[in-house]
Amino acid sequence: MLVARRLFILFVLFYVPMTTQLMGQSLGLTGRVLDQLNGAPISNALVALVGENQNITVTDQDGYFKISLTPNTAKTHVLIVQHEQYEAQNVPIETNAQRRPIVIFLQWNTDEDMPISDTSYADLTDEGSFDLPFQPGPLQAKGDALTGAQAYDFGGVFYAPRGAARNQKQISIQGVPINDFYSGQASWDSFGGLNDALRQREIQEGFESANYSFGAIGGHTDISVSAGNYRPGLKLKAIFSSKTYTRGYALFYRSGLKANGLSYALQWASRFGDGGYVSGNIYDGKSLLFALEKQINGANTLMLTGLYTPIIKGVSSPLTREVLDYHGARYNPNWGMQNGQIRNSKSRQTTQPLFILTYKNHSKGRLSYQINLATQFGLAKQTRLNYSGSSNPFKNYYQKLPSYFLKESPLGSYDYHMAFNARQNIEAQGQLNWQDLYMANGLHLNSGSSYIVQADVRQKQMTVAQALMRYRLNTLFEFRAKVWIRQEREHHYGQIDDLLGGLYYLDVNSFYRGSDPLGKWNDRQTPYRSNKVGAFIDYNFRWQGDQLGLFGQLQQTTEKWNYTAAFECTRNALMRKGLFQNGSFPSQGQSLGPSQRIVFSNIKFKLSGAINWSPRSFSRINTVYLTEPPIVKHTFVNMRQSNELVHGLKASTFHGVDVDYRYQGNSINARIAAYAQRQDDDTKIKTFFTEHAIAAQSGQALVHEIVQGIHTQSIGLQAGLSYDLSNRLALSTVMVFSEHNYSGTPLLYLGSDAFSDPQRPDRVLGSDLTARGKRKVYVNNYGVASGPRQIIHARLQYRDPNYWWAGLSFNHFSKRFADMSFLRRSADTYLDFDGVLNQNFDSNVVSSLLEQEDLGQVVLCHLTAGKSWRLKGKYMSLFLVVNNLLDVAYVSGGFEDSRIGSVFGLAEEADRPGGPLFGNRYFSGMGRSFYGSITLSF
Amino acid sequence: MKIYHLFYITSLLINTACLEDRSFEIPFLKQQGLLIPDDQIVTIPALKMAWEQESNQELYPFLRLTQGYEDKFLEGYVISDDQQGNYYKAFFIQDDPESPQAGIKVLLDQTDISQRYDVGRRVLIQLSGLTVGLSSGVFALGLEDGGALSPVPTTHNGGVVQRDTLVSPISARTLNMENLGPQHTNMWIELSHTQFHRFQSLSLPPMTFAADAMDQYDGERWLEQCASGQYLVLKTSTYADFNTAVLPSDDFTIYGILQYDYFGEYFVLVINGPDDIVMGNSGRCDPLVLDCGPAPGLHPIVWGESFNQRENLSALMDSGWWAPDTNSEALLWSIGSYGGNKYLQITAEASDIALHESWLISPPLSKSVLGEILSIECDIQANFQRGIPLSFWITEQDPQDYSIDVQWDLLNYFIPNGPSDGFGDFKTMGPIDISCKTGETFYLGLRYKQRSVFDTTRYHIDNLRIRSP
Repeated sequence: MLVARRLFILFVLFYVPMTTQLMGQSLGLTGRVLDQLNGAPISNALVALVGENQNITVTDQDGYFKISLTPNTAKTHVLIVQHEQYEAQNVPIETNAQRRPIVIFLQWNTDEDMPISDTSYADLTDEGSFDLPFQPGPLQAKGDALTGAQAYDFGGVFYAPRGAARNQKQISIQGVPINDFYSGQASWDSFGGLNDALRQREIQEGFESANYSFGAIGGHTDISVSAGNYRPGLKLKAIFSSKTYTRGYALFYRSGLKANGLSYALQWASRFGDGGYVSGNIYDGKSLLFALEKQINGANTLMLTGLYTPIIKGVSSPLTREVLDYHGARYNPNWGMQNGQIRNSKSRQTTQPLFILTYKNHSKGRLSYQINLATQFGLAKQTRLNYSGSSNPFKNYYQKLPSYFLKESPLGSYDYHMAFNARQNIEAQGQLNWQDLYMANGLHLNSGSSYIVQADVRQKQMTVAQALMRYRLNTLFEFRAKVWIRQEREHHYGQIDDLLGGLYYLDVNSFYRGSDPLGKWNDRQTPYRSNKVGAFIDYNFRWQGDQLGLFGQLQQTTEKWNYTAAFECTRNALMRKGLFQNGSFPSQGQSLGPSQRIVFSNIKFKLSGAINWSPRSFSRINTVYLTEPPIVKHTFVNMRQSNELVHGLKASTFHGVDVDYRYQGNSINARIAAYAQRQDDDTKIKTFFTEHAIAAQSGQALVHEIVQGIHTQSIGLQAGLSYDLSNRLALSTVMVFSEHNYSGTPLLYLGSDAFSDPQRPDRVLGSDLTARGKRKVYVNNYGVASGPRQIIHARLQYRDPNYWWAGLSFNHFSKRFADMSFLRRSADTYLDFDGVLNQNFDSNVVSSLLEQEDLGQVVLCHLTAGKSWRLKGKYMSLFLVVNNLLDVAYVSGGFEDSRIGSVFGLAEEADRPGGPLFGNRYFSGMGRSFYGSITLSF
Repeated sequence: MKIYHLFYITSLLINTACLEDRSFEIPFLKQQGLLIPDDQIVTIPALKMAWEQESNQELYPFLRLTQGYEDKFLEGYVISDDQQGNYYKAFFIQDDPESPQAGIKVLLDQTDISQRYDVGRRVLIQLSGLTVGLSSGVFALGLEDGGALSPVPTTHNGGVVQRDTLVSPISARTLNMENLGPQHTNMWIELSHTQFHRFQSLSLPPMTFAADAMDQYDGERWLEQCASGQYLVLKTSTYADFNTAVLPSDDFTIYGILQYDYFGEYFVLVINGPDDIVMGNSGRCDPLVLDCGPAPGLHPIVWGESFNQRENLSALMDSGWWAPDTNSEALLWSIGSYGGNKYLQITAEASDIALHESWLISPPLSKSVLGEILSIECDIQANFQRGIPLSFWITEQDPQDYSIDVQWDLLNYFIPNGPSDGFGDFKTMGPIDISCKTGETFYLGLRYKQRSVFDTTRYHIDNLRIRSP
């Protein structure tokens, strides 16, 4: 979506050494802002001088501006030029000679309206225990072809820059990280719908140097919201889309800086729909942002920022090939009609307002600092049908599919009859039948509901206090530091959302097969309780995490070189406190009451260097070493049930190096980047039902698969080139080649309440560690499922002087791997259900059974277009993007089902006449879909 | 900030604060009675008669319902309930809620059937294309699949089984164990004054319905009715929710459906859930046993028979043991051997004589030799358990003198239970105090008595021993 921009933020950083020192001189800077394409003057553009202190002005009728340069020591003067219709420009102020008027050309904004959080709808799929890779969105957009394409064109295929997982991408607002301790992830829901207000972003790719952040494998984006920096005005927008929501409205009002130093901004948005591309995924999101800013005097600013984005959205499920063949990519088995309305059994609701209070001191001396106080609270809940102990009501349940009736040769007429009937059933009715569930509950009122809607709730309370400071030692050296304390308290519980016509619900674990009379109750302290709507069921616990952190960075900048050394140390403490005494874990402290307190101390180091070869080109190298504790949910074997910690908890380590070369010519903008990185001792937990839990009495169990010592390594080469073919036509191409593989042999064990002490079968152990020990997982050289490894991208963009433009991009993705099952590749694989080594397989057969699926090549073309009009000082603009123009059917990601884990079982699955029962499941990609908006700006 | 700004901001705040309420009302479940003309309705007795007449009961006991059944519906009232997991993909209906003539098992490819077809509901089943025949010995409806009946597919709108709005309470037919016959299968029946066999419900710990080590697919437990002395197997799926529930120790009235075991050989009763057992108050009726007080401690062994020196049964006889039917063809006792260990073995498995009763009597044992305070112990292994035909007795009269017909006292003991489909483990039975028998000489008697032809449990008995201080 982006063509060459004249300058990009990164450049600013490296032009800095060449800026003049304006010490002791009082002077004004004059200039003019013009349209790059037709030379028309741009009036009412905001021109702000950032650096030591902020001076702001607005261009006049003919595009002229004059801004005063306060005498100062500053060497980091940057002019930010903003206008609704144009891409913002950051212009470094150069030498004294620059005191001549400068002319700034702006390009129209063609990507302005891309929604932040909706470029992919994978976020709307219930990933279960599949680890979705981090997907870049417009928050990633930066001014070169590579980052631009990553942000806008590589969505929908689970592309992850450098193979980063979602918890390896950091997002912060006003310098306050949004990523939580529990999952390590930043929820897009926290800022959905607020893209107009969140346009000021500092984007840090990987570990390149930045102001107050160490960086992360997947990069860091800091969003700053400053009411004083917005051009005054009002913007109204109407949105139409066929992706996730179908309609939307937004309003963005900025007061501009008032004479009394006060400014404020307000954005409101509402987005809604009864299903976009995927059927039944209802969407109801409201967004509100307010920013209040008071400049107390020249050097001090107080800001209050609040974001509140309540949202409810329906969720679909990953599907097997068999189901996709019957119903296609739009199919979502989770909903059905009730009283004439779509009701989705799985929905996510988030209501977590965030407030940030910021105090900034940007005095003229050597020291400047900033203090942030932030809090976020509220709940995130996901609903699901709880039918424990009853039959699965979803129409895509494997026992209702034709393959189930064709599972064993020889097949007779009865089997074909049953399969044919199953096929007719799923074709005729693929949606959930709510009436049946009400009827089932209603026929047995006295025994309680068999089907309920359960909400899994996370109630959150986060507070952060942090101080940032910058100290200039001399003209060459600068020291930056950040110190913070962060507290997260969460309360997790299951809750009855709807009894579906029943009178009450008994909270039992229907998988319990032991002999303890209280063993089946999820809370032994209140067995036989008749739970009503709102009651806590299933699990109930709190956890609290505390983090103390210190970041320091020393930077030396000369005309030609720039060196940075940075470190970050954190100390994390974590404790769980159970509020239910789980039936299977009755002993003192096993499930009820506080767990052991876990403390991790971690350190991160990096060294970066950059060289300016010429004003047009520079290179950079970053090296990094860091350790990272496992995320909260991967610290406990099964956090919902018990206090048991993962055995032998260990922090993971990461080493990485990347190099980058950029060239900025008059009509060419080129970039080539390479990286190599390695992560060791990572811990992952997946939860699934398996028929290959050898140590469980029946061999079947709902297990938590704990894999430790995961080593991965990746290398990559990425190149981007933008070329202005003419004033109007620009071409950009990107190529990505990468590898991201497992290495070595991690260790695996399974957690479940189905495992008992071999000596005392009545005693539940919670894991099979005693019975089976840790088993090796043979995954050396298997691929990590982190999106396509090879990409070829080309984009052609035309801008017409009559204020319309259009772009077309072509994207070819290949070498995409499905996420594989660790259990299938563990030592257990070769054992029969009774634990005896199966020696009847030859290695060729085994390796073909364990081959990792390549999801295949896919070509996606995207079209974008826009037009704007100027009407009596107001602007109206149209924006349209059509994704997957050719309506290619494809899957964006997939994963193996660990239900079958033995070689024997896999061979059986491979031979089933009607296809596998538990085949890989896929996240299907969206077919042709659009997003469009009409904007009015005052 | 102007006042209308405040107004806008406030209204936006209010707007944002509330998401659309997405709670749902309970749907109005519209049900319609079935309007099927009488001439299209087939009763269960009529269908059963047609099946008996039109199919070859010996060679191929199936009748495919095609011609003549195109528009016919089978009428019945649901009597089974799979809510507690004791049935899987099958349900039972009978022709009348109060005075049934016949019932039928319906094989349906659906779980949680009672969530649609609850007890007492009138259902009508489209017969065309289905097959009637035998499934585990009982009259059943399904689809023929390679010489057996398989479940009928369902569809999203209920398929061939249609529900009426009529739900009638089901009255059980009161029966006694001795009158039970094939004509009572597939019906909801009631047996009063019933108890579980003392070896199963009074043992420590008492047995569960279907969660003991020996239960693989089903748990089989012995129901007794005091009046008749008859017994009946209660069959419970190991997948039933109440499989771990402990057998009640007192007497009760039990309700259930009379069926055959999996292989269609002997009668079993199947309940829907523990609520079908209603506790009575008349107390247990167990046979009188020789009760010499609590079991004594482990004294030294003063007499023992390990059978290791006995090559065969005649060698045992030569040592003074006596089996009254030694010369009969149906000699059931033998000496078994496994891994070098010999033991006494008995089973009626291979016997073709109905209702066998077979004794084995020890040589005379003298109190003056052994001691005054005596207790008996032995090791028993129950295998392929079908019934509990073995019992242990004591007498002070010489049985040979009276051709067995002496005053026998039943010993006070619990025989261990074993698996129905394999070999169990040797378990110690006793010690049983016999000190209150005051005579000088006494004889031990082992009786193997079948109450039905299916009482065929194979016992291994070893290390019979007497202890005294």
